Amino acid sequence: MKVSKLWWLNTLLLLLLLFLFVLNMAGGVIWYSPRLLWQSDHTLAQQIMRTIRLPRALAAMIVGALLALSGQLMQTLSKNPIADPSILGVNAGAMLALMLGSVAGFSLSITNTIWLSVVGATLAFLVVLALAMTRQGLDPLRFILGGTVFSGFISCLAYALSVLTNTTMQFRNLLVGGFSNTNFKQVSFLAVGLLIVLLISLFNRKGFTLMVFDDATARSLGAQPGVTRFIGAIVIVISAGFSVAVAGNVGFIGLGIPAIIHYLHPDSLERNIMPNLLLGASFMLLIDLLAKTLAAPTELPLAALSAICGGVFLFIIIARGSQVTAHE
Amino acid sequence: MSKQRIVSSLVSCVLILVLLGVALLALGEIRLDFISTLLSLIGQSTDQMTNLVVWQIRMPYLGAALITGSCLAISGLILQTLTENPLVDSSILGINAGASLGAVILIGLASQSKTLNVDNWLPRAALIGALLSFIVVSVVSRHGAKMQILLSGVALTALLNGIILMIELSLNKFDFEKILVWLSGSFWNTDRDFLLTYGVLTVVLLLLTWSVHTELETFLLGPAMARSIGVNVAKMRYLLLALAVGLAAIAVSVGGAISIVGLMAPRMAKRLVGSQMRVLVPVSCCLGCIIMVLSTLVANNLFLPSVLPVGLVTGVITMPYFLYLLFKSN
Repeated sequence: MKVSKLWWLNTLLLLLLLFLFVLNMAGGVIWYSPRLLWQSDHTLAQQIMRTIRLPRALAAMIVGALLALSGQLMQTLSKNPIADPSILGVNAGAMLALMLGSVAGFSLSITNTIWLSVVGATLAFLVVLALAMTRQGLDPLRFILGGTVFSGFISCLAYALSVLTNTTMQFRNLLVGGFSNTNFKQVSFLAVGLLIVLLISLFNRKGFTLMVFDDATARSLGAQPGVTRFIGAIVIVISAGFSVAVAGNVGFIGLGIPAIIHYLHPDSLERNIMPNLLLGASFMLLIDLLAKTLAAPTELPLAALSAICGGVFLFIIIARGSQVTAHE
Repeated sequence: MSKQRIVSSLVSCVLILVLLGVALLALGEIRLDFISTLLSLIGQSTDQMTNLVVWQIRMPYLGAALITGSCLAISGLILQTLTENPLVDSSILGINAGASLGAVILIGLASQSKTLNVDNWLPRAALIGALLSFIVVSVVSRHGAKMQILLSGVALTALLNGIILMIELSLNKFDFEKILVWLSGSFWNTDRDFLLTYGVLTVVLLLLTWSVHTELETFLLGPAMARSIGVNVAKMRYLLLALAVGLAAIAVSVGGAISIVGLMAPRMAKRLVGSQMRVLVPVSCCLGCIIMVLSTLVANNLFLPSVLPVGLVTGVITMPYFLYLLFKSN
């Protein structure tokens, strides 16, 4: 019974994703018919569709999926429903690394942005984890509060750096985020990232799932909490790093999507990976569509849109008085 | 705490503040020596350039630092006492973000209609924003544990910052510096009349706070005890909360969303002189000013000739302190 419900959910989400993908392709300053994609006349509109909108939609989709996955993992590993790479300073760490890189004279090519932001995300995540660790294991409250304040701290450093080196425009672009300049090369990198992350998750899905229990129980069920946490952290920083490198600091997805999926279909992590990825991708397509059409011809800042969604959502979680440490 | 220690702490705080203040006036791209700065301060200097630098260029920064420092510190002190939570201040509770949003909305409206006078309405807009966000946070976390108040404040800040970013970016795409005023803080207006108005407002609110400091002290014992001593707890709580929100709104109007100074100053003061409000209020105020003046000094001098926004320096100074507290609290 449960399996068939999951199947339905996946099918519906897949349809939603397809629908939003087409809508995202069609929408923009001017609305084009999606049919242009496969028609053979070489008009300007068709070129726009193929070289601007197609990579953009693909990138939005992959980034949405990556962020949803990293959020889901973060929440499971920290046993805490309000963990998210944008809240916990992982994204801010990637941003700081990008700023440092550009100041140090790296050309911000795609390869450079990606490794820089993955390194930055890793370092920031390590610091936040270290802050949250107590003798009894990871303290969820310290994780969140320490993470948010640390995130603000890193953002301050990044901005100070950009003021001093007269690169505020670059900082602005990072802060604003968005998919407006994505190309196929970025998309291919993102696809590789998604593939790596998916493969790792697939091989470790049992271990991840067992992380909802406390360490002793998980160990007795055959999991290795230390190793699993390490692998989970790798998936998280890769996902966050790749996303920041392409789209800037995008919030909410990691926080809200797993929570919505959990609400629709409360089940173990491994079963919910798929619907989670699908909904994350759909949501990112929707937000991106809003960003480019709501105030056309200007583009709304994607980061702000997602931050507003995320803030409202986080606030609702807390306001409903749900326990911060829900799994305990 | 012994009386001797209290007196010596108070005196040394004031001395440090004066020293830092004079240093702020003397140092910068044009270096003045301390004697001529002091002479100019008491009106005995005949050197035109010294007078100009001290009074016209650097004095506004000192004034702004003193206003924001004392407002944030006292607001933080009141909030910490009332919520019985030492990890709280106006920036953590989202009050600063609310005031920022109020200011940003007003400035946005003013750029649409030419008739609206920003200077007149700014404090009111900031106050309304601060009040609203404070009400939201306290309604949401009214039954919650201490940590839940912090979390809802942090969540509200994230949400409001998103809205601020959105409004500011749609207002002006190129003046990015202005956005950061409302996200991380900077003395954005150093006009003399502007600062004078806020200085007077600050002094009035500080005096008001001082006039109820004995009542504030009773809250340290818990509401029941305060009531039994004869304090009208409900009324006094409203008054004190209004003062805290008002002070935070002033600080935000002058310096933007400066973080965690209001948390740090009262905590340090408490360690220095204990929790007698009679001394805690002036010492917190002094320490808040010291933090802000020091940050301004660093911001203006560390990377000459470029000047950092002061909010960044305070952030870098104060956030590790918060993390340390959080680290220690478990």
